[in-house]
Amino acid sequence: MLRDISEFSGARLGPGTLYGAIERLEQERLIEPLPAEDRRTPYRLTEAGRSFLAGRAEALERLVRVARKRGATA
Amino acid sequence: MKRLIRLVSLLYPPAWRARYGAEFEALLREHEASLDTLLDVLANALRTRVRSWAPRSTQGGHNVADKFYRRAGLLGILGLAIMLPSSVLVAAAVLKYIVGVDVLFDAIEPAMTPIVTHPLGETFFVLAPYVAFVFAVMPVTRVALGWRAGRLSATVDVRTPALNVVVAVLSVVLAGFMALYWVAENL
Repeated sequence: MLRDISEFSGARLGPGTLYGAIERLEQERLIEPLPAEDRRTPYRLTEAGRSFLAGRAEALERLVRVARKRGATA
Repeated sequence: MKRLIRLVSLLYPPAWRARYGAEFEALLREHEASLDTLLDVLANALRTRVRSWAPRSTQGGHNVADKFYRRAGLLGILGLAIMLPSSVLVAAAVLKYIVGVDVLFDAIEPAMTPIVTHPLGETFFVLAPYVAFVFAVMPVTRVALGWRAGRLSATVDVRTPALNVVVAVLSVVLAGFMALYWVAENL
């Protein structure tokens, strides 16, 4: 999971930070654990998580559109 | 280093370890053992432990509040115990040099002198009120920082169990006396 995050975002998270985020997301019911596989626990988005992610992606897209537009006119 | 990181991960609260311990350990086993990782695990373990002491509105109920106050009370007592030797010494010095009653100071001086003049003993006596203050205030204070509507928001929630308030006030008074003494001696 850490490698995946590092590849798509360039951010290097430590294990403590990752599990801090997992704990918060689970408490907010945005992700849920799947059955453990060899001591590793995969997680998946819940319905609420999917909708939250879609909202955030939309907000970011809006931000990028505005930034590109203003960058082009500046 | 790996062993040290696993040892530091024991600082996570028992409830957290019961829920995430096995998978966290599996992740640590595969992850690069470095100073960065050690500091990351240490910082997050301490943050999780402090959060576990704070009241959680989502949990509600009397049991959580009772547990919270018990833990705050225990840390308050611990703070009191830590600053007790410094308090006795300062009180005795005030009695002798300001009030003119020297019985207490003269009684404890032979036992205290070798401790206070040792670097470790001196450090303990000087730091005790600050440590006591942290022990008294930390478990009854919850600070939340967040980013809402493009602005940084901060909320501070402080509870005031009597024991912790008393320990916090005493520690400030004690630190004040010690600072005044230091100023009088050195300036």
